[in-house]
Amino acid sequence: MFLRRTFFVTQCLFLMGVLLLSGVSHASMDIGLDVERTVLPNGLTVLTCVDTTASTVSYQTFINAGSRDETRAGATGIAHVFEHMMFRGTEKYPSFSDAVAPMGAQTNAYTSEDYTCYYVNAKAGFLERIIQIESDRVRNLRFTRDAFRRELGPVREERRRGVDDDPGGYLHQELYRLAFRKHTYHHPVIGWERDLEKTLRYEDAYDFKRIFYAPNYCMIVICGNFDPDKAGELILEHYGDWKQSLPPTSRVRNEPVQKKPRRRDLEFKDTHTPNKMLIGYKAPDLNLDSPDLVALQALDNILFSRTGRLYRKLKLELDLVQSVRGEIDGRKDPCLFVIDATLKSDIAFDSVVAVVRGEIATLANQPVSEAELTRAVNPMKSRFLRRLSTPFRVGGMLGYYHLVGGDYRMLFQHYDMLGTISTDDIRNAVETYLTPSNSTIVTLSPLSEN
Amino acid sequence: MLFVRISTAAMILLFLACSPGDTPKDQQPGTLVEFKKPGIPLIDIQVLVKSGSVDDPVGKEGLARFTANLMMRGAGDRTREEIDIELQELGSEISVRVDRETILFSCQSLKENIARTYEILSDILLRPTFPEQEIALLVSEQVDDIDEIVRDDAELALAVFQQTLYSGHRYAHPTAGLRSSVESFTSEDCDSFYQTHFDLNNIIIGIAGDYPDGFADSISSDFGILSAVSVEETHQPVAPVKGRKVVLVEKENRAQTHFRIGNIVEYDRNSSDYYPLLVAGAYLGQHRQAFGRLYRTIRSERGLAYGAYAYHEHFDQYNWSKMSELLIPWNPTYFSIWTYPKAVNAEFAMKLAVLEWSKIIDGSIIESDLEKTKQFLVNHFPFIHEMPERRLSIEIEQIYFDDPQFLFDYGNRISGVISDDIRSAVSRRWSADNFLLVAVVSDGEKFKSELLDDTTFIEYPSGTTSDNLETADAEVRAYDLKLTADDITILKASDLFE
Repeated sequence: MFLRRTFFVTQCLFLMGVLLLSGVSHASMDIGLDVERTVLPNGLTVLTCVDTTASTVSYQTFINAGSRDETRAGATGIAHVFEHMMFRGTEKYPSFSDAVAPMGAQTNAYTSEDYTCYYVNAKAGFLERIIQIESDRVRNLRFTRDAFRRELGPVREERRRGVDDDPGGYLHQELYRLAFRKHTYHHPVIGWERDLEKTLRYEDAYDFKRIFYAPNYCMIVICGNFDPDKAGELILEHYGDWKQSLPPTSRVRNEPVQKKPRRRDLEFKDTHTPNKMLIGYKAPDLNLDSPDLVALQALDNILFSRTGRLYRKLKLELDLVQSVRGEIDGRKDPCLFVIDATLKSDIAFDSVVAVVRGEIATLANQPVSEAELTRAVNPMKSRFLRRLSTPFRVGGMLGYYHLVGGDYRMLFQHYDMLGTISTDDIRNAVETYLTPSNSTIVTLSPLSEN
Repeated sequence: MLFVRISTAAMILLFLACSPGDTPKDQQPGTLVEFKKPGIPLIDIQVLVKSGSVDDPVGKEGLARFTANLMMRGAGDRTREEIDIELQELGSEISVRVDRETILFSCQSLKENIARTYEILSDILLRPTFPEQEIALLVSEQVDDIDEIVRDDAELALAVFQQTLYSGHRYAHPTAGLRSSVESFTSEDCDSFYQTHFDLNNIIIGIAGDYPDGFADSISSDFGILSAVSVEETHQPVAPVKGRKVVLVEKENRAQTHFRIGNIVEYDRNSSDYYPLLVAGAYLGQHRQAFGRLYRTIRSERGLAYGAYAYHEHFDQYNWSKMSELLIPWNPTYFSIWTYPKAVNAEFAMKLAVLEWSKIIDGSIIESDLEKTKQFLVNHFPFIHEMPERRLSIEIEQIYFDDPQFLFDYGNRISGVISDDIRSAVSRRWSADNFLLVAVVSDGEKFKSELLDDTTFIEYPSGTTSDNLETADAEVRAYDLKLTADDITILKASDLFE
């Protein structure tokens, strides 16, 4: 599927003259994906990427809304709850599971801060059946008050598993709560416990569906082995008369510039949790016009890979941590570069903070070497390519870049930037983002004996 | 040449020419399987060692895992740091995973860097140095791994379930070992383990992707320096649990209760019961699929838990997918059910799970659901081997299990299972009157009392049950787990894996 080094521009017009097309094909010099984009008159975006060597087809329905779009207080988690509702069936297919199981499909969904994705992967040849089921599901969901209340049960259990009983999940929740005051990245995707238990209403889910489950907020991505002409006809047949929605009346608020460091020290509810801490620095959104995001992603490796500066210092030289790693994903809006450390017993949080800050300061005086940069970037390139090894993975990547970054071609741009990022870019990114005033620290200690 | 070379095309012919049980691995030392896929400039190498934590010496629990990891930290002329630096420069990855019966080294490289990457891999496997200076760090990391088991309730319930089920057996301890044993490891221990188990008779090598001509010959030649003596096989039987036994693991302030129910099942891939039980397990609760009976009754109908699943054999989730890892054979293996309801609903969910399990054992199978389950399994199969690294693992599994037709026959084997096959197999292999239940709870004594008294509580997420479930719920509540105080043991999480 990849690295075919093809480079051509063709357009597959689903039904010439009927569709409004902004069909664009694109292939990177290194990543030979031939992607076509089509936009129906009702606003539905369709990305297709054919690979005739694949034995499967991946059909992904993206909704351009996630927990970021939950602007009403008391209704956090509704994007994710609604994702659960989407498995509750329709008039035509009362059991979604019964409809897809005979195909042997891989099917699931995930909700992120920025978008929601439903996927059905199946053997090549099942595409028509998938389009029938998926178009019906996204348009004609059976959506009762009773089903909504019942589905809250598994959602609450998902939260107990991932947050309430999990120190890592709990600490991440608290980091974002503290780091964001106005922006909706403040609350977790799963929603606040209070909202899930008490305040979330059926009407919230209904409103969320009415606004966002519409063609102008929806994108279909089809990858793998299929006939694109036939797919185009089916898409038009099943989605062509789907009506647009009006946009929400409320909007996501910008996060003010952080001017001072923030910190909160917390205690978990059991004695088995080691000391854990997160340090979050405000970081750029997914915007590749600037090298900052890619520079920080490379810096993550430079600091935290097995040969990374902070990994070596904190773990190998000073024996302060059990583990330490970084994480940074580009999102729609500026988010966080996170340092995640689990401390050795009896190590004070402040001693880790001091080493982290000292090492970051050193990056200004002792810039990253070309060798360090190579060691950081080459594994990123390999992993990037491996993330394109199945139709499902390709579809997920295309959807991410198109919804979060605004253009699926950022996938190719991102890969190409791995080859051009410089040590100066890294120094600039460090100086811009990794400053104490831009940081938020949360710490977690085990339940004290008394 | 000491190696039997098998390409995917050649393999069929080779095995067709052999009678069952008369396979190349029995005849000649060393097996290398190839899966050539030109056009993709990526290469996978996997080296399977047919030894694992089952081979940890008594008092040295965790040694197999420790040895494999120490091999990665010094080999040939390279130190750990030099290995890590060079692999990063190449954009290559080498990792190792240790299970009860297997050690699997996996290597991924760009085609253009395969020569240097393979040089490192072959040093790790053929010329490990077991550096003394790495011992303390690795001990510390492996003890941390043991502590991690206790921190995650799902892992904790599973580990205690395995430890109890296999009590007295070499499967009982986690692959990470016990805290006391890990702290005793020396470089000499590792060298001894290596000399015993890294033997030509005991490994299968697989290569896949766009590897250069002559590459397989080079590997065969290089690995020929390993000794080729017989490695003693250590199959140790274990008796299934008799009656119903419960172990409650105490951990403070749990919001939900993770539990496992199941028992030992003494069979393997070549048993005639294997595919009927595979289908039966999927019918009852295929991992992360909504069509299973447990998922339907516990989650979809009542909203009691996020997931409820059944496993006909040992299962270890592959990354974040719904599939199991490959090359993790357990013999004897075990059947288990896993779910994690809100703590207040734990007893009800336990009863419901056992009831659903009992129904299959009693022969109650809904034919239309069974057919759907089989269709799912057959049509889902391409995903099991869609990724190149998994396809390679399956090629190796075919050698390991002496089952060269697996890839080609899987669909027929599943399609051929009928409900009578399942009834017959489950009546032989499963018993809802004999099981072990392990649960992680906040207060062991309190939960024990709840299990022993006559009442069973349920809190519905929607505030009430559906009318059509009232009768079924009454049946669940009335179901008698038939436990006595002597059947229930309480452990403290902090005391485990010492």
